[in-house]
Amino acid sequence: MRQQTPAIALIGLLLVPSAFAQTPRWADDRGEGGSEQQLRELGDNVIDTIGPASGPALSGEALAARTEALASEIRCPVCQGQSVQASTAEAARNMKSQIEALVAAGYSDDEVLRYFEASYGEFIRMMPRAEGFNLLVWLIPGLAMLLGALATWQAITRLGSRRRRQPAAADSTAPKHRDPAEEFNEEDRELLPWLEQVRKELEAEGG
Amino acid sequence: MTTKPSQGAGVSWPTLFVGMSLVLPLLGILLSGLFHDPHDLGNPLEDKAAPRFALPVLDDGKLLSLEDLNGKPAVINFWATWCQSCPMEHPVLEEAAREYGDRVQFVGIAYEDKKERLSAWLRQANRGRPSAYPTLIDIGGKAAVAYGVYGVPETYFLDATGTIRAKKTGPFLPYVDPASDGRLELRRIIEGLL
Amino acid sequence: MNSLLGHGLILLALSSATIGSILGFAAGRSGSKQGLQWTRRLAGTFAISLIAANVVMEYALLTHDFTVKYVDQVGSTASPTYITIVSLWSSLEGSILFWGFILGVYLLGFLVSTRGKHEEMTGYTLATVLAVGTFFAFLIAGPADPFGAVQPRPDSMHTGPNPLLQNHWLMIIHPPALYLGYVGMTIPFGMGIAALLRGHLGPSWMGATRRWMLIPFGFLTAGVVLGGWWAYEVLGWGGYWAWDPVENASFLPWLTAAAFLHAAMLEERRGLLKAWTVVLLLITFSLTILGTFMTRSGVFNSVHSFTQSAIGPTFLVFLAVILVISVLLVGLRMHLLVDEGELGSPLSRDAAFIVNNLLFAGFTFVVLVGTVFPLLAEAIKDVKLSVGAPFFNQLSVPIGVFIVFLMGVGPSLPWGRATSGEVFRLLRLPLGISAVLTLVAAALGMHRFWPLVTLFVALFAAIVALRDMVTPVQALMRRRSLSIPAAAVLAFQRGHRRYGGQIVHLGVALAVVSIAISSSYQTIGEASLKQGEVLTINEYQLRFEDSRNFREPHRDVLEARFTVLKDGQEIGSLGPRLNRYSGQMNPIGTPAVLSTAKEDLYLSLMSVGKGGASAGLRAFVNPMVSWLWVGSTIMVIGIIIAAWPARRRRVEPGEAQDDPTEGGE
Repeated sequence: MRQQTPAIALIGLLLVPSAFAQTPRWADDRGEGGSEQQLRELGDNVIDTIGPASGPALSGEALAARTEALASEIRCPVCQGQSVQASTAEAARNMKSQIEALVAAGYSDDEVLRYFEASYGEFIRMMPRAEGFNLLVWLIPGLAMLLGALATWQAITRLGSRRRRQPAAADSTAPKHRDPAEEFNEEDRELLPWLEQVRKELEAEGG
Repeated sequence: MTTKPSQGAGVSWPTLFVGMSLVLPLLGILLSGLFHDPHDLGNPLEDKAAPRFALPVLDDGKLLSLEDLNGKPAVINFWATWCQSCPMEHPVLEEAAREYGDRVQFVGIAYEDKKERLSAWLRQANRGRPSAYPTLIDIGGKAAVAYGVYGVPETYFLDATGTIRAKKTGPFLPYVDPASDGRLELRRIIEGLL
Repeated sequence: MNSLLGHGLILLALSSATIGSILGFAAGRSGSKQGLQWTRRLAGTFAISLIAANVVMEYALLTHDFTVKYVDQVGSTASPTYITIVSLWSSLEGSILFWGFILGVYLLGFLVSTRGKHEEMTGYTLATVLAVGTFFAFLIAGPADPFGAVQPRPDSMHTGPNPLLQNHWLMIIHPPALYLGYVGMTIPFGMGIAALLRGHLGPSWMGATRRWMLIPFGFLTAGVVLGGWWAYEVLGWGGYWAWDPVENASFLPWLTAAAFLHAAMLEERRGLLKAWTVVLLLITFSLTILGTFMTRSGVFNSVHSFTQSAIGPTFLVFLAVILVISVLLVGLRMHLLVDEGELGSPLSRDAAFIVNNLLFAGFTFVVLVGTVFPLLAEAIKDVKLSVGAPFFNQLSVPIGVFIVFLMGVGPSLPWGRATSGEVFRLLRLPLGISAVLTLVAAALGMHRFWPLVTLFVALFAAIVALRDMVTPVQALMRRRSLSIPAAAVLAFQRGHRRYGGQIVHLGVALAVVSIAISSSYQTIGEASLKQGEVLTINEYQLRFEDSRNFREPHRDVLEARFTVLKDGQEIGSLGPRLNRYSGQMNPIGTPAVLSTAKEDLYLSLMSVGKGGASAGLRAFVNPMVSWLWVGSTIMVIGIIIAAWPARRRRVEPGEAQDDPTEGGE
């Protein structure tokens, strides 16, 4: 909920009846939920906002699955970072009922998302609509990965080519750096031939 | 960075270019972020037709709909008894409602609240007087979704044609300092509707 | 008195940091031994005065000295003692002071371990670390001053630290672990800057830097995982990671630090990519500062928004200075960090390390862009949008799977050169076994694509790691005719760094499989139950018994009790709760979790009806979640093993003068 400054909160606490300041209260569903049937009805402004349903009515497993999928993409407006599907807040549960009503009536995913976007703004979507400017959020990392891959390829071939240009400098004689076949402490150099033998044996056995 | 020339070449311009082209835009974006409030989600319904609703009035249960407001500018205030700042906003709205009642229709919509608690609370807050404007019960939170309510209190201002002209997120609080006085701010917005 | 003492110590810290930093750069340039000695003394003074300032603050907190500004803000006579101790880092000013404490501790450790060694490098390193220290000391002295002397507020206003801190014990160790990770990155940052300034990066300095990065990396791993565990145990939505901006802030430096550790291994082996390795050091530190900015500035819409403050612009300026100087320094000096060796063929471990870095860097970029994109959209299009979990999951799952696959391929490949035939022979056994096991899993009912792929690559990587742990033992057994335990102990002692790494890989494989399965196969059930009614979810039945209400000193607790039955047999009871803290509008829930090796039964209380006659319950079955904590613990154990200083060994003639405690690898 809204973050108020401590001073206002304090004044509020003083003005408000002590009923919910100090004594324990039952944590209840705060609102009038309405009957089951009322929950299944569409909001009064649905037709105005997104027009009539474009698809057939849905029920049962398919309805539950699509509702859950959509609810995972819509933010709970009174929570921090949770989707309507994940949140247990009353507002989130109400919204999930509305999503269910819309899907049951036959609206497509896109229409349902547009309905919520109309009043809450694009913020209510957990993933930006994949069009126009928003494509940058995929393109920028994609481009970076591509350039990185190119740089990586160049590094592997360029740095590797130094070895090919100087074939005399075989891997085993780099003075400042470890013997490439060396896996441990240099005291165990004597171990190396055995290690190689074990490896060969293992490979000969088929890995 | 891994493709640098062999030693002795000096400044690596490609590295500087790549580095700055990553760092400077990032800093610019972060700087711009300092000027925006991430919690201020704006008013997506600005200059759009107000969403329709038809909700029962607290006192008598009769339905009041958006159409019933036609012809007059309206102030729609989403609030709740459990909201910490709503009790302080309430007298401000009541006062304005009494002042503008004939020219502007005030409506309160109770967000996630129950009839009994609302009646008791209003009785106490108004000290026995009847409310200056009706309070509607938002069944199942549908009106809140229709208006895009992110929290309470939120107040929407409609002009005579039923278009949303302004939205106030947060309470109208009475202050002595005119620059922050919610009462003056409320009147300013209402005058703009007339 | 406490305020005065605190202020005095901070001013001492600030002055010794400023002078020490300038002196350090000068001594580094001139090579003056005297200069270095004085720099070290000033660094020690800085560290000790910051540590002492923290002690003073703790004392003030414990004695409830409300004339000290910070104590007045977060102190409370009603809080239990452990909460009072912990409130040192509960709020902004105290947490910056705590940052100073940890920086002081790391600095002392660095001073001790570099006594008489690496003298051409430590001057510059200390100068850099002290420059960072100057910034933080300045913050503590000025904008974020916790020591101000104030008129105490009325005692009714002393409500203690934020309730979320008091809700669960995990919140007590998560911030310190994260700080030990974050702050620790300053030392390797200083070491990287020193390398650039000196124009030289040798094997012993690289080894020392790698060790100094490994320690904060271990803490950061723990800190990130603890954060996820806290989210799971406390927030009640049944998950552990939401890709919240502040979560991402802690994850970004982890990714680049992991990239650095691998790049450092390549550098130590081949002397290659020195500049890139140093760049990773600078990026990692910058990301910790970026992370602090993200958490403290109020610019991002996040769960951690209670820590917003006016300190944002200051941090942004500091971040800008760090980033610009880093870019300039790298651009101007990197040509001095000459590559020495040669890289192996494209089918070698060498190349695998480079691809590893590409993937980690790419992952970092994805998370960074996704986190920052809402700001960009608002700046350019003036539109508010959000980038949430669906986006991050969409991109991070393929990248993560690739990384885990490489985790199996890389260690299998030999250094230097391998033909495709050799590679095939090396990989076919682990690939074969993983394929078979994955098919078994598919036959047992696992049908979703990504969990199956993740299982496959994780099994592959785990088998490779196990093979690499066993092969040296086998070799030792044959060569030295040792028994298995003796050979194992010897192999471990000789190559503890490698074993540590393999253990970390095992932990990663386990954690990744757990993440894949727990997020894809979660079951949720919801019901409003009257007393005696039952909610069935999978093989469990949950019967609502009753609810009770009781008061703790800092909160009101409402608990609903459920009997848990499995296939009809009673196996226990769970009591999820709703906690109401003074000053909070909404209650904060505590879920109740029954963890088994196979799955977690997770109950979240949504509401309790009038008189406790009914309860709204949401129940989850989260498969394999415990393995995530186990896997992460294994990772941290592996890091500790890898970081553990080895026994001294005799220095071989002709070898570079090394740190005598450097052993193993």
